[in-house]
Amino acid sequence: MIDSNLIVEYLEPTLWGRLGTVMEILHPERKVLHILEEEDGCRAYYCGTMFYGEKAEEQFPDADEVRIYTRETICGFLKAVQDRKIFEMDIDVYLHAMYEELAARIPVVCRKKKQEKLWKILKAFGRSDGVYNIGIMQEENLFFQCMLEFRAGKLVRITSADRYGQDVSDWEKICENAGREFSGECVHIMMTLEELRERYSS
Amino acid sequence: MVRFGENGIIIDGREIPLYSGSVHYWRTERKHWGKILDQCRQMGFEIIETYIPWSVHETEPGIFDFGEKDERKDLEAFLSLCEQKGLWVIVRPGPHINAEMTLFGYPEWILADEEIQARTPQGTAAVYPYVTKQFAVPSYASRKLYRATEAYFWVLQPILKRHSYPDGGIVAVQADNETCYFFRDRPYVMDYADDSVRLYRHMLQEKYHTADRVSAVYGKHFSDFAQICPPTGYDKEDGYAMEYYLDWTEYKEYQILYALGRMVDIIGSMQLGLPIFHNCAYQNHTPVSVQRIERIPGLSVAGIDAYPEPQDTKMLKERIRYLAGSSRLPFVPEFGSGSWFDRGRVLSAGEEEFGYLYAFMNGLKAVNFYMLAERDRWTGAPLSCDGRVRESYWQLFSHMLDALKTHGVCYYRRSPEVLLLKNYDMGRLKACTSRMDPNTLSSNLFIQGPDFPQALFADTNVAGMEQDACGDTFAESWLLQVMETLDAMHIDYDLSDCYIDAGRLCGYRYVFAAAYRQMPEACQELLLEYAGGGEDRNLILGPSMPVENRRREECGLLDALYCRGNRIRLLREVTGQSLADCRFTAEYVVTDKRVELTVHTHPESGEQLLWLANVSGEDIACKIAFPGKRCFRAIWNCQDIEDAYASVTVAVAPYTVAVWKVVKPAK
Repeated sequence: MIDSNLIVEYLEPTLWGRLGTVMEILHPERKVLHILEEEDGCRAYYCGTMFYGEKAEEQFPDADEVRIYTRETICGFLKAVQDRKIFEMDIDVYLHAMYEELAARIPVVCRKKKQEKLWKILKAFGRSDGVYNIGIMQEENLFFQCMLEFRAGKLVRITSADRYGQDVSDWEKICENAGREFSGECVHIMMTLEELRERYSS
Repeated sequence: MVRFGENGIIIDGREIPLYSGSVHYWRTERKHWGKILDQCRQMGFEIIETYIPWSVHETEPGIFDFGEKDERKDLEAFLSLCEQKGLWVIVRPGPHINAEMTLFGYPEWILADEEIQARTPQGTAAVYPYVTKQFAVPSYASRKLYRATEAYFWVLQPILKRHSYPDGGIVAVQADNETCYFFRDRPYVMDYADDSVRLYRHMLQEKYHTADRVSAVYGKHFSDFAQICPPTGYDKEDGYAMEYYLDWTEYKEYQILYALGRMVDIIGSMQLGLPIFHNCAYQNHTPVSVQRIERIPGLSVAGIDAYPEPQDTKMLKERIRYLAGSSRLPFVPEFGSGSWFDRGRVLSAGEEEFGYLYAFMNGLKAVNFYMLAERDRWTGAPLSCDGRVRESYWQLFSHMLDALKTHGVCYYRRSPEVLLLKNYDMGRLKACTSRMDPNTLSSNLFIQGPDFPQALFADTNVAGMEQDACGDTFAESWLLQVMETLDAMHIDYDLSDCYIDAGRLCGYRYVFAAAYRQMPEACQELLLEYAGGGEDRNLILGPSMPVENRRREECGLLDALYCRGNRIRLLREVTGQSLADCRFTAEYVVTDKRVELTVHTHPESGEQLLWLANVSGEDIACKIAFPGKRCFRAIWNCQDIEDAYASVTVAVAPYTVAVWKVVKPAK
């Protein structure tokens, strides 16, 4: 779905600079408890803290996910996900395949359901050719804006209203300009940051 | 002739400041080239930097495009235009480029070639999951890679030769780019490719000469070097001596030096007559060493890149002071100006200003701002990809370059009397005692693969490591305490490690060296030479006195001098009290912990620049004490102060740097 020749151009620095905030909502970091079973005992790592001994799961009840490894299962996993056949895949397919491989080889306990919101949204967008003009407002002002262009099921371009050289903060003008450039195939999506949080925060 | 100087770059016998910025011709519409270069000049830049990416120019094996098909790829025209505009050029032909390119600048068929790929302990390629495509990391030992690189470089040669100084505007060439295993720099991630294992055995042969000797050191019998297989992780039960693992860690360093040496040889053979430099990614630890890279014949300067987070001081202070204490020219070949698109944040002009000025304050001499013009996959530069001005960034560069050049800032010297020496071997020991090093399967914001935390594999119960409690592989508790204490005392210092030149070491009055029970003989000799060299030299070791070499054989060169008198001091515990008897000199004194101060002095005129940084989020009224009477002429973020006697109180805004030129009354 992500084209290897993806073009990323004309990003307005201030608006695009808030990508991190948007990603915290759409793609929140998952807190994983990693447990390595070794001959000399169990070692666990969780959010910067090491724990030695049994019952690490009980020590870290707020972990979203628990993964239990041995060095052998890790080696098997690394061998599988770096096999020569993976180079044919798109990166998003590869990313998904890595987690499938992990789940197939390693006990993974999901305490909190994993929601691949970002990838689901992009996949849905990719079902037809076109451009998605996305605006996120905070109070009266444009907080974030970008345009995503899909061709043949692939994300081929990320851009923003900076390509029009002016009116980068005026949503109405952005829609006008985008509608003119991508006539008939531009979908405008506008919501507030609050609505984004309500819709996508778990 | 053109060469790097102590303060910048020497062209036509004149040393000019090395303040350059990046523009990518092949990613910019040709009609915008002129406008962008004019704007760069208007901002005050006299030097432009560009990569010359292999994959862009060799579109299929043996098929090249230098503007014949795509006018943006007309390298010759771009270089000619720079010359017409009066701009010098730094070129970076790779082969490693990164530049947020899908295959980091390598042609697809190069990375697909299994003879070129690095190998993991699992026998697979080492995958780099870049946001637009995963690819195989190439091996720095691959002979085929160098043959292919050389062939590409020789296609570039006629163009580069025509445009090299004195005939053209190119004044420097970078050898490769951030050569550090594509940021997968832990010892056991890679490289187990055939050519790499061959090189590893070659290094062992150079070091030990005979199989008997290496057998004795490793505690295993080998009748031939070909029988030695590299470790894939630390295993305390396998009967090998620690030297076996340390040697692999050293091999990873050797491989980088070998790779850069090969690149320098290839560039040298092109007879461009230009100085060659390298940019380290971020490391001041194994497998990278600025000083050792600078000892590669034909390579003049090794810098370290910097992409600070907003309000960062920790990374910048350590990195720049390390360069100031270690490199021939403290140079940041890539200092972030804007951000890659999948970073998640773009620094404001104010945030960038603080980082740049803070770096200059701590000893930065030369810099390339990466990028000056935006392009595919990059935003937040002072110019958009079509040459429009991004006002706040443009103003920052325009004013900053004007101030730096008007006041000749690069010709002043920050000369701290204190040097802190990291113990490079402790980093090696901690790195090599990892039970395994899985490859990193993430990159930046979008690609978050299922990574395995390195801490899971660290074997901390290893002899020698009990003396350093720091969990960070490449930091040391004792040294961190020294830094914290000196910072609290407002004492300026440089950083380096055991690869420092003896002559340079002797320029410091106080040397704090992190030392443990084991220390290589050569390192002990270096410190011994320093300590024995004069009354005004103070060597302070800690937390332990070395009494053995790395093979645990008795070697107490420093201990012998320590026992004979007071030339060496052992500092087991670091406190402000324990440093109270050091007679540090400080002409300017501040006491507020939220403020940092450095002084740069002009070597000829004796004039001073006073730099003051507020490293907090609060407005501060800061008192600066000094002997006698002074006037302070404002250079940056401050006002003139006339006839101040003994002290002055100045206001400093949060996360800003202020600079004055000090005027002392005539004697």
